[in-house]
Amino acid sequence: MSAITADVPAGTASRGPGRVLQPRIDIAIRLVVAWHVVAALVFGWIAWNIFGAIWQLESLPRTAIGVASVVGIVANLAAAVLLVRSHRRGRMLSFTVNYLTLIVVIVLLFQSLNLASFLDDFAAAFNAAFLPFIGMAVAVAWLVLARRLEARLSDGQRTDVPGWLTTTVAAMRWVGIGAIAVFGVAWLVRLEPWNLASLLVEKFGESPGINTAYTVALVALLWCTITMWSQRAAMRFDTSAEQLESQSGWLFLSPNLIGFLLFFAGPLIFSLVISFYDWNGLTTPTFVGFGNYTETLGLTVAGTADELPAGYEDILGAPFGVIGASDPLFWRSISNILQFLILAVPLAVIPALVLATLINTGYRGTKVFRTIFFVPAVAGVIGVTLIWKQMLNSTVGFVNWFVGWVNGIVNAMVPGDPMPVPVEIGWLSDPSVALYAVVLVFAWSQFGFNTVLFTAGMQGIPKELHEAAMLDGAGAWRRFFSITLPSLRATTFFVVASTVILALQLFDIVYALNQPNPVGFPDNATLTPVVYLYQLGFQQNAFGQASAVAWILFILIFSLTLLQFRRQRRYAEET
Amino acid sequence: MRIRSSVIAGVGVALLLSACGSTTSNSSSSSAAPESSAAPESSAAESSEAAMETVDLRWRTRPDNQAEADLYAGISDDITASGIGLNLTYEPGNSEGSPYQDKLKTELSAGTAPDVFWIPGTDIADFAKAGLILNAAPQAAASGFNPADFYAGPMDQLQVDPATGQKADGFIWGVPRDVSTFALYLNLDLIDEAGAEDPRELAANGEWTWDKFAEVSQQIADNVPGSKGFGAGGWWANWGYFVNSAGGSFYNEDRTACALDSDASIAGLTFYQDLYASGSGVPFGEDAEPPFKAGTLGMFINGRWATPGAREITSFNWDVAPLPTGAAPGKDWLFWGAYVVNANTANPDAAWKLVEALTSTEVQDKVASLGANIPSRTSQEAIDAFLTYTPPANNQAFVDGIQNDPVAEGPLWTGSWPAFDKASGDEVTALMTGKITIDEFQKTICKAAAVAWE
Repeated sequence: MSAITADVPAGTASRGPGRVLQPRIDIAIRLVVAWHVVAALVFGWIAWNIFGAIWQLESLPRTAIGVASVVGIVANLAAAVLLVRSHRRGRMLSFTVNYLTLIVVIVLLFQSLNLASFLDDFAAAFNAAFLPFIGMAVAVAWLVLARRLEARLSDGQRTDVPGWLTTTVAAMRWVGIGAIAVFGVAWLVRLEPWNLASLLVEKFGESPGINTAYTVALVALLWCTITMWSQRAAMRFDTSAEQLESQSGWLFLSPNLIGFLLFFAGPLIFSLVISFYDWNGLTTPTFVGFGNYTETLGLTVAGTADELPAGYEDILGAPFGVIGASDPLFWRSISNILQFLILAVPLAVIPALVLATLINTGYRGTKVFRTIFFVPAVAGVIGVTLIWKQMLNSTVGFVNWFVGWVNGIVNAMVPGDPMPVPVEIGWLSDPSVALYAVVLVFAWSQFGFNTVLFTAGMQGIPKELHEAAMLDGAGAWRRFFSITLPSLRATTFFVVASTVILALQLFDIVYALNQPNPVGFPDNATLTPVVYLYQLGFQQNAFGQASAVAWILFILIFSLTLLQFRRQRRYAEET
Repeated sequence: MRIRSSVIAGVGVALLLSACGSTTSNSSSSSAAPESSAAPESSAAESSEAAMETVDLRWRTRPDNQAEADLYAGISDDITASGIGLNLTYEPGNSEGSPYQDKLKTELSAGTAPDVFWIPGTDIADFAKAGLILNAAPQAAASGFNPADFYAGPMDQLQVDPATGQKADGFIWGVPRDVSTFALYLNLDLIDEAGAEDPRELAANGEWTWDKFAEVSQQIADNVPGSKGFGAGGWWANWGYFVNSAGGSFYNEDRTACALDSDASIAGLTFYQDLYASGSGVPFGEDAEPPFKAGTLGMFINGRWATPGAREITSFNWDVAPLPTGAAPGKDWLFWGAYVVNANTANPDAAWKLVEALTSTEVQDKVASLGANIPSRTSQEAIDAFLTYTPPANNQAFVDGIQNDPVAEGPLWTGSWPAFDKASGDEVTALMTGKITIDEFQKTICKAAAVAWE
């Protein structure tokens, strides 16, 4: 331990207050080292229980906790050793290990004390005391105002302030203070914090041993974290200003980063892991390697459907025979989504470009239209889709009524065989048109947002380009194709790429349109890869295979986006 | 130093708030507790001892509407206040974009599901086989629970030994919350305008057959422009009724194989196909509720759960009639769902007490009064009370459906219901949309459905 003081870099201690505080920080660092040793022992005890099968856990949590405990041992020992050697990295490692462990302990204590339920109680008490709270807030605002007025009146340069005004403002201040006191007492009386405190004590008492351990760990970790972050520790380990700035940045970033890792990257990796398992989501998973992937993607070729191997169904006739698939529904979903892409993306992009051009002309009322067009982008998808579902109803829906009305007009104007009136197109029940209904709703829900993007892109085009073209005699069409469209290349790329990604992830519209029938209805005509993985996971309880489908879809989306990026880059380089 | 401390404190608070936002509320009583899973063997003495203290329990059921959600919350408070030693937290289990079963399965997987929850009858076998719900036979025996108080169809399925797939002593997987049957919701004004016979009178005279049904449907479609004779949903129970009513069945007798290719099943589906082919109905798979509410649909097959929606109709007179009779009389579906106990509950005895309280005559009466449910108790008292909950005036049609040899919607103990549902649904849709013929259907259906037993 003596190495701590012996290895202090020359000159570090002489900087500012660090010199005076040197002995205190050395003692603190020794305590932190001792804490790391204790923490390593605790992690060792956890690892012992896990790997010694003393705690009976399922394989996945067992692996996760086991790995975490080993990482905990190594990290704490490494931090202790680096601190003892006064290595610069020791401070950051120690801080990071303590900070992350602190978060884990806070979550464990939160769970152990059932603080979610306590927060409910607190929210109920807060609601009961809401009026005095508002009164207190208004009184605080009043006091701040009075203080500001007072400060302005007491400005030394002002000599013309009447005495009554000064008295009034002073009275205002006292009224504010009095109101804060009255409302504050009323708030406390209504809030009954003593009840909340006793509730917390009661929850603590339900598992006193474990809660005490968590609390002790929390206090120790908090102290260690603050100590290692302190300026004294930074100076003690010769941390430069740039490093401190960088570390502050990471610290501010950490809530979001940890949230991202836990709630986005974590589930992502988890789904990748379970894609190699046969798992119903409820019982112990069985490792199947790439079984889910081969089952999903399996294709074969045979002369006739009868010659296909067992477990394969023909999905496509070919000149040389038939193509069979081990999972025909997956390939049906891929076929559907490709058809959907071809139809939906142009419908969501081209009208948006046209509308953006009209909006950009600057006619009166364009702002109103721009707002109206944006409505689908902010409206709830499920709610909007349910309205579309009513409109697409084959017997009483507006869409068929409208088609019938148009047919009536055509019949009146054009001689020959009359077109049907009324019409009964089964937008939601006829397999030959059901996908078009989904295309319609998707395009409608997307084109407003795309319009706004194009409008923003158009507003970035220099007006001089258009003016010069006009002087050269270019008409509106020529200017649109020669100036507007090429200038919008980056915007168009973004619009198309984001629309393609959204289209490939299609789920909610299909789900809502299909109710109360099974998703993918009718005859799997609206089955998309995401709908299919939902079906596999939540309806067939095949979470392993559902995860495999999710990762195959990820690769598909990634490949298409990469292709678009490369084409965009090549085009930019060529021009 | 102070600034740095503030930074750390701020970040800590931010993390804590993030954790608050994403942490599911979890009663200490419901978390997976390995040491407590042996509790099913606790004795009756322990049960009465547990009754002395107040036990915190979370429970959940799927309400059909906000009125039901409010009612269940009130029932929960009433049970808590009744002094039987239960402190309940009711969690309505449905929200937009988060269907009931999806959320429940996720919570079961995470070990955070409530102590007592409701599941549809078709899910019972899958949940029991996966060890997710408690066999409450010891608790039931200790409390003197009598399965005969409830309709036999659901209760038989709740007493199955998963090892054999057959009813056996020593198994109680739950208690039915309520039951329902299909009926025909009638637009009386439209039927009258079409000059068709009243299905209620035909049923009373024993003349309400498939042929009459097709005839009335055609008359409505032909005689009232812009109207349709009948409508039904695209899901399994709708076409399944005609299979059952023709004397067919989904499964063979011991439910170990598909029976949809039997001649009787095919006869039922042939009639159903012809009915749609006649053009008198709302196209197969279209939601029939909007045209019925719009007043352009004469007859609409649906369960009791459609009654609250129908009660909003003010533009025409409506009522209900029994489903038309085929070769096999009766055979309406008996839909049901059950309250079950989480296998990982820390308080199995208290949880069972809650199940009994939630299925008491008094509670079922309250729920049935809202119109969407029929009590699962067989007592005359329960039926008499149900008959008073009008409209519809002809509540007897539902009671007849329950009492006239119904087919209880069934979990598949020896196979997988979701797999059977998916495979058979796809084949029937292919048949009804003209992709395959009835002969092709007969050849392929049971090969496709065999996946349920693989």
